[in-house]
Amino acid sequence: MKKSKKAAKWKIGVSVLLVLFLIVQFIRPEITHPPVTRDIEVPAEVKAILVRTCYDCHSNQIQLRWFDKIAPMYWGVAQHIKEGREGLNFSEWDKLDPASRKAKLWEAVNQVIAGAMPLKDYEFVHRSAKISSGDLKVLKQYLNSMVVKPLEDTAKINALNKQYTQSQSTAMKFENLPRALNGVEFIPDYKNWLPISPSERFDNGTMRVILGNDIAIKAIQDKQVNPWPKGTTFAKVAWDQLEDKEGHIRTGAFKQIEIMIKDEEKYRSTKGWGWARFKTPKMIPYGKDAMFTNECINCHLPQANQDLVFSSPFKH
Amino acid sequence: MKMRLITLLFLSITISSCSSKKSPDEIINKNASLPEALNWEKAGYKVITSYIDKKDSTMSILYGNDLARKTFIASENKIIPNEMLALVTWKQKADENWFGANIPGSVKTIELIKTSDSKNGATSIAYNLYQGKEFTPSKDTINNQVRIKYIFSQQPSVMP
Repeated sequence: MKKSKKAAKWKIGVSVLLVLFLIVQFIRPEITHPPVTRDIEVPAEVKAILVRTCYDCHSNQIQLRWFDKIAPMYWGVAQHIKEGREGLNFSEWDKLDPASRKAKLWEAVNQVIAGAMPLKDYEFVHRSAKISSGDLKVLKQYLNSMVVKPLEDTAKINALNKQYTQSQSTAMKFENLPRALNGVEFIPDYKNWLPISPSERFDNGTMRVILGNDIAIKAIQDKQVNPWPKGTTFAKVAWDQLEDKEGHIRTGAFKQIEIMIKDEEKYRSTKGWGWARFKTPKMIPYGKDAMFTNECINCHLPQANQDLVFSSPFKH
Repeated sequence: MKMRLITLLFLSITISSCSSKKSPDEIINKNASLPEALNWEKAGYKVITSYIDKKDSTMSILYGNDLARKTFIASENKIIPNEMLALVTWKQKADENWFGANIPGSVKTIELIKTSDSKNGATSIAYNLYQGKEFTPSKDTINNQVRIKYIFSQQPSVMP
């Protein structure tokens, strides 16, 4: 008696689940199929890796498997494609200027190295999306082959000299502090902070010094850097590299400054950090709207195990 | 496939909930850290410029006190008393967190310069070279004048 009751309950349960499963199949967020405006042009072996491992979310040439079309799997895939295309779309390569194309590729490979891409849950079901160490080697070699080092670049030297003349005549004073589109202000006092690390970026021909405010410097001394304490502020300054024939590289024109301010409450919606980027000595705020922070976060997210900070700070 | 779908759910939960947090010792660049004996903050050093030497695979930061920084920015090629400069040079290493970047490895040298009034009215320049993180004073003085000239010839970075 008891046994048959149990069996009946089971049957009802399974039927309910089955009906639910059928109903949810009708909830279908749209997956669009926009045209390919310009496909990325890379050597065939690189292209093959990108198509196999990235294109199903990062292009307008997606290939859905049969199981991708079944909810709830379908929902996840639709979301991946939507977000994937927003972050990087190999089918709309013409929408990016040459410098951004290069930057996107280096960022993408770094996301792979950090294990952030392909998304682990996606890769688990889509085994073909897995990037092997051999694939990674091909990608890295391709990127390294793209590094160009113009020596004694006249245009860059002129750009620096122009900035020098301007900086000395006007002393670069701001009546109103430049403000990023999320409200984070430029901090002129960064010049008086101590550096936490220099960095040579051969991927994009810049060199950087990352400086930290007093709270950051103390946190390093106290070994309280994960998470960084409230009020920690970093300023990352980037310049052109100016290289001479002897392989001596000095700082060229000022490119940009990027700021990160730690405050869990104030910046809750942007992962606990206030982000800003100002371009050129005129300190032009980066981006179209406050959503520019998505770019910052996406790039820094693989560093989640060290509070979204890339730098390995040295101690003073 | 069904099994995979179920496992997938669990997997995504586990991945999002646990990521092994790095310890401060893993984060802080210990080999590149500067000797405590320098009392860096008290000296009031600020960044004047930084540069890279590809032949030696080194990178450097030139620091100066306020007076030194002001003098460098004014670029009048004058050396006045009470300027303090520090040039730290590191061996470069690949950045583990960014393919495409090099960062400081171990400290190679620290060079300190202090200018002061001398009796005859000219500015005297004291130069000291230290090796490595251990801050070992170097007895070799043969290159001192070359290094002093080199350090004072650096252009400050544009820092708006």
